[in-house]
Amino acid sequence: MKRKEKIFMSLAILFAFSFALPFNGNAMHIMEGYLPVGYCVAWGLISLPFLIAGYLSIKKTVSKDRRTITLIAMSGAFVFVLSSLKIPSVTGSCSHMTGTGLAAILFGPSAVSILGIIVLIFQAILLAHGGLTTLGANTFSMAIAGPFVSFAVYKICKKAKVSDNISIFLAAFLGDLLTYVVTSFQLALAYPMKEGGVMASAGKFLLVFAPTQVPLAIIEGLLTVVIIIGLRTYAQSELKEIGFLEGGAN
Amino acid sequence: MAHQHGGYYSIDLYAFHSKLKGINPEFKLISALVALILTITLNNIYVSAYAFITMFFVSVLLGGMDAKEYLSMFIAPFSFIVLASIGIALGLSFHESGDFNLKLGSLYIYTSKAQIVMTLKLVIKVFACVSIMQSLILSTMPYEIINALRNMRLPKLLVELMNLIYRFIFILIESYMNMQNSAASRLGYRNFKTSMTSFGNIASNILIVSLKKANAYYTAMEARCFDGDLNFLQDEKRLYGKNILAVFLFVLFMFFIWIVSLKLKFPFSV
Repeated sequence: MKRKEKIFMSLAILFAFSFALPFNGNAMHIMEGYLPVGYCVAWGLISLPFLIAGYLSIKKTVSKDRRTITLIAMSGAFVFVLSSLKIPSVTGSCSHMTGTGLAAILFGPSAVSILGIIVLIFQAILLAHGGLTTLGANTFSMAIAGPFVSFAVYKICKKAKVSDNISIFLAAFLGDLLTYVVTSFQLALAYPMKEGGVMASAGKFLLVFAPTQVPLAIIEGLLTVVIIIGLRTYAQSELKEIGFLEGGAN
Repeated sequence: MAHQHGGYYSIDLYAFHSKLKGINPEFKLISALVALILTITLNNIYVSAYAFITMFFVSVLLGGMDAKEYLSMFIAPFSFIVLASIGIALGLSFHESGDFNLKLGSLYIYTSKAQIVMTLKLVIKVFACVSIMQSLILSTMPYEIINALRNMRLPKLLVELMNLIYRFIFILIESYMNMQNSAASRLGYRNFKTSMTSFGNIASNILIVSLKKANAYYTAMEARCFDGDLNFLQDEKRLYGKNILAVFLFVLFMFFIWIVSLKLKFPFSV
């Protein structure tokens, strides 16, 4: 075999091998150790203002009505459970929702930032997804950027009088997609390419993760719609309690 | 497998069986963080390998965990490591570059020896960091980690939320398992479309159940004199000199390996 053929063979084998792995769909948690210390600290600092805002918003809600603390905790547990459930998949791989799009629509993005970081800590210590040093970066992509975009898309669609189900689908789908784009950029910033720099590197990461993440975003969107339809049908009073029917404001 | 809550995968059960659970949790948390930061900043393949091997020793021999199960913990992070490594090792370009390349139409996929070495170093470093985190998780109960955070002056509201969420997770998972069983016994996962509907309905049902339970729990807490303060009891775990000495030696040896590998110019050490 020529050298090129050899390389091609080994790439093909690597590619085939990657499908035989017990593939895990929420591959977008940046693992412990992937980011240099500077980036860990920087992403933590960028997330900090959002977390403080979230903390203050939750604190206000709780001090107004002490009863809401179990409600908020249950919502957090719900997001964790939702993100740890195996969702139906076409390829038989094992994938999970992020659940943050749904949470942002239901509970509002600032509360989700705090719930999100707690869920990420538990994912690290209960499921070994993500890590402690990469917590800042993961919080930014999953608990801040994704939910804020979901919430914004949902509000804009509502203003534009798009039908409810489509706006929910778009919100969850775009939020999930953005999480994956932000993570790719986070990796690209830490590992830019020699030629082309950060942008070329980001393109590369986007390409590598696309086969698992894009279908996942579509499924997440569809599932979120099904979940909200279920909630509308059976849980009118509970939805009022968390403020969803009046527009999910907190 | 042992790490399951009624069929549900979770690592925390190992901590209850670990022989290292008697060590002071704050100390374990801080040592793990120091080890993590050092492994990442020194960024040396020998230091990483040393950390990985030591952590295997700590979890399996000192903690008394089954070696096979310990290694199976690395499956979860594996897919991310493979994909991200492909992303780092390979490059795309419109003209030939790197040491090896592969032409795809007008695009070239290329890589170089330096890139492969870098990726290999990174993978070993990631495995070392994951194993450091695992050795913390496998020997410390989650509520102890939460308590450690409280002792480090994390706002009280967050600590309360974490404690409650940790407890609620297992309640919700149990309801999920029951609903899933009953859906499965009614052919709810027959094909992709029914699976989607079943999953969505179960997920919305869980939210409804959880909101109902939240009220019931508040009432239960109030009945037990809850006045706005959640207090969780914690075991007193003393900090022994030998623990500090062990971690000190571990860190010292880390620096030793780092300096030796640089001075003697081991391959791939820079």
